Amino acid sequence: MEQRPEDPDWEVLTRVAEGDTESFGVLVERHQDRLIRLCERMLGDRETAREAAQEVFLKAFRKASTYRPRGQVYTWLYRIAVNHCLNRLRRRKLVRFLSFGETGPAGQDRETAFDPADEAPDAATRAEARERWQRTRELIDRLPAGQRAVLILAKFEGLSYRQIAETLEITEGAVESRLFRAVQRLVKAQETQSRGVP
Amino acid sequence: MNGEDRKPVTDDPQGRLLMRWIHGDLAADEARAVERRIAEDPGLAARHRRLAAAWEDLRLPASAGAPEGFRDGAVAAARRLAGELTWSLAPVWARAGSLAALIIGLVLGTSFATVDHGGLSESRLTVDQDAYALLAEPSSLAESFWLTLEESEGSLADGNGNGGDGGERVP
Repeated sequence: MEQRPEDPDWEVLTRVAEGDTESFGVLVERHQDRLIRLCERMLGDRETAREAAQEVFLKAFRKASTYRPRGQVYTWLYRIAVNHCLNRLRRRKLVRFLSFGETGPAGQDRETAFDPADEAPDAATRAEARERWQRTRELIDRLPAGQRAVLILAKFEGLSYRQIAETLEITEGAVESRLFRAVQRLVKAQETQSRGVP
Repeated sequence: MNGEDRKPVTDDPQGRLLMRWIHGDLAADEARAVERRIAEDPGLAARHRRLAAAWEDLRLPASAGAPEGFRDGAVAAARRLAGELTWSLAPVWARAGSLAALIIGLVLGTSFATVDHGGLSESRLTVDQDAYALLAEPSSLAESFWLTLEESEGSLADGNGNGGDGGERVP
């Protein structure tokens, strides 16, 4: 595996590629918070996100020996995570379709995403925040997979266009285009909401 | 995912530039140029306001991060996976050989356990014979010869292999 001295994670990943589970533990420790956060943003459910993040790390463990580094390790982990979450969402959609909506009222499985610790001083502000989170979630859920991934990486992970392009292995032009289209959709949805159209 | 990029990326360059500016992804001089254009063009300014409002309105709750023991759980799962991978990486002949040995062992084991000789299991008889042989260790070549002869006569005398061995009969 090619060495990238500018990213200390490459050294760790090289050892992981040799099957060193202790080094794998180091990699998990370094990236667990950001990967769980990304999975939460993508899936909208805290428990599922934790489960997905563990699966992402195991995928990384399995793929470590075959991966050829081209950038930072975390962008590689992000790529695995985004693809994994998108696959999970596709599966979830299919299950919902096949069960004819028997999985409960919409939004029920998202309740765990609302963080009770992230509380505002008064009940009204808390309720407002929750409503805003729910609205954001609904808007994000309506976006096509690629636009959703770009929007989350840009808005909530704070990645630059170049980093997003590297993560998703697309061009910067495609990132620009997807993000703009995603936000345009949000503008339309917000205008529709403000006019009171359901 | 690629289907979303079918439209040419050159569509609406002004909107995409505004979005880059809102995201803070423009170099300082480019950002200043966009600011100037927004100040001069009310239509562009209105467009910018709508995009920025939609962008700012996006909020999600803070993540609680990794729960206690997440790392240990992942490492334990990786260890299990490493064991599976070692097996899956073994040469085909080794895996096939192990599987064949397992099947042969199962077949032999099953037939061995089910053959019954007059209410006695063959395995028990073998153990008893072995125990006798150990107790009656021949001290000379001649003794060994006679013992062998007696054993073979006994076996021939009793079709069930249950007699003539000079040892204790199994009740």
